[in-house]
Amino acid sequence: MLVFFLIPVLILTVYSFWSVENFQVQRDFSFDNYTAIFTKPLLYKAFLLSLRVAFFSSFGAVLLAFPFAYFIAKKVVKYQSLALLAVIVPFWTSFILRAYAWRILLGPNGVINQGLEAAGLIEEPIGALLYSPTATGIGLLYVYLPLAILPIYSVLERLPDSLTEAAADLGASPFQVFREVVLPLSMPGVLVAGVFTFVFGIGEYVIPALLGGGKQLLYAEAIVLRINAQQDWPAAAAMAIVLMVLTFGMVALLGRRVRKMELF
Amino acid sequence: MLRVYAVLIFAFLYVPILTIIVFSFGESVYPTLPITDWTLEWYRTALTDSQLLEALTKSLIIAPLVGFISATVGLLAARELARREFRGKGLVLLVLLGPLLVPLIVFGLGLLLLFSSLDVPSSIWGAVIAHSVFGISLSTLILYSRLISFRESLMESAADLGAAPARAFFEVMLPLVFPAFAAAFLLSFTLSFDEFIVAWFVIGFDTTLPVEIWGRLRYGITPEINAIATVVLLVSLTLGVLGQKLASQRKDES
Repeated sequence: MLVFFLIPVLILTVYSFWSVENFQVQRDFSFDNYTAIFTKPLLYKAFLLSLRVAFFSSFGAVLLAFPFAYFIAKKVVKYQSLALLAVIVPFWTSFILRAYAWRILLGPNGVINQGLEAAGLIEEPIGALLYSPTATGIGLLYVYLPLAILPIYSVLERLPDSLTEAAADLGASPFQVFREVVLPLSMPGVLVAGVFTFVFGIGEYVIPALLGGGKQLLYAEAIVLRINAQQDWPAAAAMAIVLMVLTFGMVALLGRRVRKMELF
Repeated sequence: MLRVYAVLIFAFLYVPILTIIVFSFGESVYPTLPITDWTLEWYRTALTDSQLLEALTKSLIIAPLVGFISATVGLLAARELARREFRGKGLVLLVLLGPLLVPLIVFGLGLLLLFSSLDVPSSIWGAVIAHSVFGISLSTLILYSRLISFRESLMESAADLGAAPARAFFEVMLPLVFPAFAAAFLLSFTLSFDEFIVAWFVIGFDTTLPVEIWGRLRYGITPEINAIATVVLLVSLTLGVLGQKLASQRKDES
């Protein structure tokens, strides 16, 4: 297994220093593929847009997830495991199909536009709902929401009620209890949720390709474009390596932060 | 308040899935409301579409193979990890997480370059290998958390009572870890059955079901997609529920 995981990564690294001429891979050595990522407008724009979309969707996911996770962890007693199951199960269904569902919902004649029209809130369909970075953001938020709920749930579930009760007994208002007891103690879960939804969001291809409309490319779309349109494997490899380093780097940082926090 | 909110979140999680299912029975070619007439036509179209069926068959060959390879290798690896303490164990567990964390597009591209530089012709085996890498990671982690509580002394007692290692394995260990083994099988199966990007990269002209669905989604309105999607969603929902239930059983018994 390690062979099939580590060797592809090594090969990518080797390829990323090669170049391409007339659709032929040249086995030379240069950093051009890497510098191109940060100097070619198409590429760095895609990179920045991916960062932005992933940031907003993961921020949104954590924000939506927190009260929900709190509810499941603290207020649901009898059906807690059932509720958790219901959160996880959508995660096991087809990614493509969950993204496709949003195409039905967000389209100009889609369910959401029709609903808003019927309610008299808008006069004509909002065209920008679908095929825009916003649509991609909604799609990402949707598919990764379970991933944000679970870690937050697991820290809240372990948070003893006696702590919040003690704070309340000592005269803290509910808001103070939340800000000074619940939030700091659930920070590891919040960080795990945020980082994971973020790093998965940056590398996502299916959702922007189905919902993003192709006018403003995201990073993963730019990688696929390099391969399909230009057969430029080395450039695609370099972009992939940058993505991977970013992903593992963030997860490693997260690991250190979280371990430190749990120490005390 | 919080209760209403929770209901809304559940709605948010499930309405998109239900939308596809509802529209699969709608007569109109375009998925728009209101649905005036109901039909099973799209199911008939999907079930008589030989290309779609061929893709489904391939997925149904790949997924069980991946499930079986992943659960078996995962069991062996998890057992070694669980019964032995050694230096660098934390590192091994971390590396196991790698395939689950690496962006799929990175892994797909890397594997494609590996196969092409070895001149391996693209075939369903590429997809089996690729999906097994994720499956083994997932299975090892599921089985590891189960085996941590498995008492190795049970195996020793079995040996003392004269059971051959194979017999001890099948009659003592397997029944105890079976729920986790089944969970690993089902979840790896589901993972493979639904996985698109890596399969798309490595499989060449053979298409799995997700790759076939992808191709159709990119070219306009194809209402039979809703029908096949409903079938796929129900399959993965069922397997997902079963797998998760089995995976979380460990605390209740033993």
